[in-house]
Amino acid sequence: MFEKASAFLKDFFATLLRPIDRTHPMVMKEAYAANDAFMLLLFGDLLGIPNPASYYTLELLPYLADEIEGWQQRMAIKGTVLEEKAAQFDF
Amino acid sequence: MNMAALFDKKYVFFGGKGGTGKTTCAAAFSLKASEMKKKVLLVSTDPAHSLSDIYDTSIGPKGAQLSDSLFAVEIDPEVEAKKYVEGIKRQLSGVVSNVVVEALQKQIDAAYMSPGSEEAAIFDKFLEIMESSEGKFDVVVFDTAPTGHTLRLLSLPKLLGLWINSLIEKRKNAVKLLEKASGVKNDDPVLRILQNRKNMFERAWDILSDFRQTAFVFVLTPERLPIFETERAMQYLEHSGIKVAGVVVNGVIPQAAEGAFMNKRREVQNRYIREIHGKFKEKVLAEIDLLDEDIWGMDNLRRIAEML
Ligand SMILES: Nc1ncnc2c1ncn2[C@@H]1O[C@H](COP(=O)(O)OP(=O)(O)OP(=O)(O)O)[C@@H](O)[C@H]1O
Ligand SMILES: [Mg+2]
Repeated sequence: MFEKASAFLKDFFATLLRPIDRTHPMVMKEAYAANDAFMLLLFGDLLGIPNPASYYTLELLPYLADEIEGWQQRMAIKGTVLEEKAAQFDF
Repeated sequence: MNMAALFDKKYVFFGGKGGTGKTTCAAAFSLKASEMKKKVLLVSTDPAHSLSDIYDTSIGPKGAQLSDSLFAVEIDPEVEAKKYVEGIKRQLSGVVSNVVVEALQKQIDAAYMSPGSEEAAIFDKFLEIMESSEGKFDVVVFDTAPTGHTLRLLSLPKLLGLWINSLIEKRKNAVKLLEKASGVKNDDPVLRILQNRKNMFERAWDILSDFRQTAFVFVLTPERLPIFETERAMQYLEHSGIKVAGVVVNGVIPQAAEGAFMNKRREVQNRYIREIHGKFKEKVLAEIDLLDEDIWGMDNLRRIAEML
């Protein structure tokens, strides 16, 4: 089962690492954004958003461990954008 | 619904305000059911267990046999959470490097300590017990923690069901887009696990909301606050889709008790008992006398069981 999982992740990352297909860059960007939203719902507590179900997110870690780091970095960049936006509204 | 019908249910929950007699009633009910030749499993979901005390024997998370047809177990959230976390750590070390495992340790510990974890750990064990009792026990009786804790436990499958649904939807969307961009199609293990969880929550809800096999009983004393709390909890459960089978009034001062003090107390109680009948009507399943001593051991439990 885990071999299968890591095989999937390898494919997944191979896809992400492949030179971007000129016809699909937008789709790829969209895919990233969609998955980032998913990860936020799952691991928001890493960014300080409390998650009442974090116990149940643990069982996904073995399958998402590799994705977490990249996601956190992307979120950190987005975070600063959000902070600037928030500052405009004086939160 | 009457008391006799309660003995035909598969899952019977005793809930209510702290100290009203949940454990006493659950234990007496279990004893009586077992003496009716049913195979009974009595389960405590209250982290502050007291089944061991009332039966005067050590029960714990591994469980114990109390008589020919009576078994009991006390769910220990810490033990369950440990098992769960250890399993995940083993899986992790199989798929990612130690550096990553190390980094994720923080995540694991944070989740492990988070407020919902104790309930989740109890909930998982609770479902496992209900499902594995199939064919082995005729009745599973639950001695639950005071109201708030138990309401949260019971609402977990519905609440987290919503959360899981939105996770599944988001992941599906991401996978679909990725497939579109890459041309590679694959089975996503993440979706599979989420789907498993979703199914678990649904199965739990199916059992909890099925009043043909499942019954919720509130134990209350003839006093002001327990009446209020029972009323509110009942509304909450019924609103969420769980029908309440009835209430048991515990601690009624027996006729034999005499003296000015007792007469005054009885007068006060009678007012509340009338109020209870007015409010809960045919849902009042039994009235249990206050005994002249606190209750532990089979003999005293039998005295209570006779009034059920
Ligand atoms: N009918 C009764 N007559 C005499 N004592 C009783 C009776 N019912 C309960 N008690 C005593 O009251 C105390 C509380 O009862 P019990 O432990 O059953 O309540 P509980 O609702 O399970 O409490 P908790 O909320 O702490 O789990 C115990 O000491 C018990 O022996
Ligand atoms: Mg108790």
